[in-house]
Amino acid sequence: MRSVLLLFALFAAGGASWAQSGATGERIVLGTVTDAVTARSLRGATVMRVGSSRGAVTDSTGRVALPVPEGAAVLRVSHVGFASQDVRVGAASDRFAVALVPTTLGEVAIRAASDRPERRVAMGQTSLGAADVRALPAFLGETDVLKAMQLLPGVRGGAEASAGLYVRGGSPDQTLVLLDGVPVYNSSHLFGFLSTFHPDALGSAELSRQPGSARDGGRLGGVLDVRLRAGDDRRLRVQGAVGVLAARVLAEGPLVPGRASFLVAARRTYLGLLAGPVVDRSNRKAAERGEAQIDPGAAFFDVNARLDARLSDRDRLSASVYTGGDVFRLESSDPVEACMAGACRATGESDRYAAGLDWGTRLGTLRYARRLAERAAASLTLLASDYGVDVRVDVEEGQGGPDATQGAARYRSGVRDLGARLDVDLAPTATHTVRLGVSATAHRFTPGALALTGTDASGDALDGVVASAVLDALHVSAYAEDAWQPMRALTVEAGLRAGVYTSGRYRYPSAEPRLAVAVRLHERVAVKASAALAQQPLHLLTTGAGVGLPADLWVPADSVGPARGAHLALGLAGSLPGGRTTWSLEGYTRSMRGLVAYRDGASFSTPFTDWQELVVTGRGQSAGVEALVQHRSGRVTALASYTLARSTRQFDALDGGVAFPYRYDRRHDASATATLRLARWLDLSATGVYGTGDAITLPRAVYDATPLRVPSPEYWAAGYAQSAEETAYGPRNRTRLPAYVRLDVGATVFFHRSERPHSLSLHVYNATNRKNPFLTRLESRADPATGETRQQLVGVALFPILPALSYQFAF
Amino acid sequence: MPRRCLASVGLAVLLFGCDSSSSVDIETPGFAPAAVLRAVLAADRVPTVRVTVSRDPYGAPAEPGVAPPTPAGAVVSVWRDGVRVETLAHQPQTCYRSVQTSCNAETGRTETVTSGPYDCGAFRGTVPIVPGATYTVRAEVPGLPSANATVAVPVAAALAVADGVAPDPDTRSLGVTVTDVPGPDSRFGLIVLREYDRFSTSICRRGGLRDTTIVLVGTAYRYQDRFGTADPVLLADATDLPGDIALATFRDATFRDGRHEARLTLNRQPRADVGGTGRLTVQLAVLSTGLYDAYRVAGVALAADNPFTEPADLPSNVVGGYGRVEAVALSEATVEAP
Repeated sequence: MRSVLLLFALFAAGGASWAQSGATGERIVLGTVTDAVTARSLRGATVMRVGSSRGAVTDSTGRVALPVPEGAAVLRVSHVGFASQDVRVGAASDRFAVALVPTTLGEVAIRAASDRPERRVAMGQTSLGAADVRALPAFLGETDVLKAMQLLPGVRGGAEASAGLYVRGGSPDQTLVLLDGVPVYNSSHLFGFLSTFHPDALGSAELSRQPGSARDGGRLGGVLDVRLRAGDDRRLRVQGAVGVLAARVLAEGPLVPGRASFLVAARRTYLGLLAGPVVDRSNRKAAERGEAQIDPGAAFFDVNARLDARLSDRDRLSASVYTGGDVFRLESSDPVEACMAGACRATGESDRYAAGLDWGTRLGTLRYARRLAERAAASLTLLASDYGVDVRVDVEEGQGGPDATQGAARYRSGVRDLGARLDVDLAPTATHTVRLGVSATAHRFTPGALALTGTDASGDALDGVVASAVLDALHVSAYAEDAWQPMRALTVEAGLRAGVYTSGRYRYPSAEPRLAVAVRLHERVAVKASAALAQQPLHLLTTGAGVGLPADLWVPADSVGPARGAHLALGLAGSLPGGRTTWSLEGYTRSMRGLVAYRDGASFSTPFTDWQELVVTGRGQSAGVEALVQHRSGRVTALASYTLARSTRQFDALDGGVAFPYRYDRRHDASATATLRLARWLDLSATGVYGTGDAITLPRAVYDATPLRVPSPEYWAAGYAQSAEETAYGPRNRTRLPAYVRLDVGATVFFHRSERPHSLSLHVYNATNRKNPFLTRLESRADPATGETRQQLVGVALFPILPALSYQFAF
Repeated sequence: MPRRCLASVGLAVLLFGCDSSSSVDIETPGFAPAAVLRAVLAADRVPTVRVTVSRDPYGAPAEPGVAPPTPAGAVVSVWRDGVRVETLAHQPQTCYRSVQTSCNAETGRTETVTSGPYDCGAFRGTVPIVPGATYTVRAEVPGLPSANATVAVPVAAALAVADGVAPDPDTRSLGVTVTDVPGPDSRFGLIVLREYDRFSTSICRRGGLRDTTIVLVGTAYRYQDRFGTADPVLLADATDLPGDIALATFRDATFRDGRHEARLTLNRQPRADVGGTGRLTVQLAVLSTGLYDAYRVAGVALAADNPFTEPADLPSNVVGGYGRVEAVALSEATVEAP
């Protein structure tokens, strides 16, 4: 409560100073920043007056207002993924316009380095451009924005090679993932090995590791804001890549030259084609031996399309759609044998099993932006999304025989959104930038529907459908925030997001205040602090498998209330002379309550029970210190990060009510990546990752037990004498897997660094062939000395050293 | 410079890429053996308790189908409401590491070959369990910490069953009336048993096993039949499909006036492969809290077998050891075959 009062006191202080304007002897210069190739407005570009520390950031329409002293001034304009540019503003001029040139394919940069952190108020915020992502060593040749984000401090993935985001000790649902402003409920392909974001269509990706701007909310953590880039409105371009895992292509061009453009990007894997001959060969041998034949398959695709139109100098219209999905199947056919007196013969019958797991997302957004006045702009966005999971299991036993049985189970789950939002950006004075907005989103959750069909040996039908109720929810919210610079060395950003979440007869109002303060101690050093309260009215029920299965369920807060959290951070940020090397050091603490977890023994596969009956609620606590150093010079770009952190969970109904480490609690986490332009035709890159091993729960004993469902009256009294075993587990998540260590290296050869570049890349994932455990299992081993057999727990690595070639082209 | 860098990468690949194994040993926590108690105390019946010793999950793997031995020198006592009732007597029983049964073609006799005999007997009392009392079972196993468990024994509920009007000729409908027992939050388990005769279709003769005419092995066996219901109270905690229930677990929270009537539907005829009277018995068990929870958890998903659940212990009330000592009070009602 004290923190709430403190926040409001600070807001009140900020509000009282609202009317104050800029210092005397200054004037306001208005400017616009656009992409030189696409003419698209650039949001988030930094404009600094050379020779001073004052600056401003462009709004969503690419506009900026900056106080400068009377007389001429030189402004430096920079943006992630673009070359910085200086522009001179004359003494009699109060306008400027800059078109930044994007970095070309293969040009390497951790561009966040040019965005000097001491000049930003926001903490824990990093932006990456498409070139940054492409420069990093890739998994099987596929670059991925989420994997790039995992190199930042406080951010880690889930299981090996996963594209999930676990930020500052939070679960993946606590980070709001947006694609062109539309929430994405599952951003993974191939069980999380890749994300759904097409690397060539990527315009920018900005990750806030904590609740930042009041513009976005509804989650306990921060925001990953991924924006597609607009198509080129001047000429037709095609680019693409072919790798061992997938191929992708992108086409863009003008619809109305100079005014409207399109962009279409598609990607598809061809794992099945590559694996097909291997599987066929294996199955032929299995058939010869009379063994089961197994036919696995996995594939994904995604398509992005975007249209942009400049209706007038004041009006812009854009639309984007995304559709993508994954298909996983596993089929087996097992010949049935009849054995008598030790002799077995084929019966001609077979058992067939098939399992399938499909998931996918479709989303679309339509956005209209209008400049209302010199210092005001507004945008209206309509959005829709549909995420679904479909699990199928088909069993046919004794096929070809008299007692054939068959059964099928199908499980569906999903969430649909339909929403609208209105955002207004104002610059009422030289020292204030105000953002206001309202939004409304209707959710339809389908937590799970299980359908069973089949017949037993006597031909009786066994049909049934059990579905958790469809849940509708409406989230209406409004926000207001002000970035205020009362003096040269002090910047304050304060905001409030308030809303009401209604799900059935449950109604949860929310107030999410945000505050960030930056004080410039020195030209190149700033101290920062931030505080935020957050409320999350939807939950993600995750399985215990820890591999980011898409079977995780999104459910709304209803009888189980929303999660709530508080986030505090304090840090230093700065840059070395020259601005090529930047650094930041941040400490944070996050408390969470109202978290949900499956109760013991329950999972998404638990039938016939509403999800509310399957979960328990509890608390979480995370704290840590993050250090980040970035460097960019002519030939070398590098990033190094280290995080010392702790994250725990406490549920009264789990583990005896004792707090236990979060599964992805990582005490030490370090990453380093560097890219060296060795020659005009050659780039080399390397990434190293070290992290404390995952926290897991291990058995501590096995003991005699009774199958509890033996159906006889004798059972109730004495049926326990049957042989079976139960396992007693140790304290939850108190055992650590070996440390995670990985080194990736890559080399890219450019055949032509021009408007039509071609390049060939060799990426080696896990170059040291480190065995990082993906899962654990028991392995029986004979002791050569005693002859006794013992069980050894082993961690099974998923990926050994994996070299991969990919070819990129553009024309 | 480029050559040197490329050579370094290549060397790393060669050096580290030769190990084709994909697993690494993981250090496991230490193991301390403890006594295991297993019992379901039934009201008005004498107690029987099984005592074993836990094993190291990283030691020798279990042999499938082989019950663990009873530790030598174990002493098991039963206490009622804090007063010692009796020391249970060990009931010697011989188990075997392996049992092989075969038909001797020369003699025409069934022969059994066993190996590794050991004691797996339970401990049995002489004083019937008193409904409504609280019992403590204590086990002393030489070399291990003392283990004990305490459970409140429920009182049996009244049960009435009557034939009802079936929706079709192939279905049988039963009306079941459960009268609640005193005390808050009673927990129930309900099953349906159908009487049958057991037959064999082969016999050991000179020359080996041969198909033969059906031979009656025994009568009045009971197997658990599956039933359906639309009753919301019985389905509230169900872990089965509403039309295909093996065990219904439910509570008295929504009983009206201390009783509840439900309708069950079953196949009119028994399974095609068995004969017998087809007499139906509905059995109602008032379950101790821990047993109810164990049925629920075990029925929902056994943690060790379900890859989608967090590893979790089944409910246990044994202090100083493992296992479960729970209690039931049974009542049953029989309806004749139509």
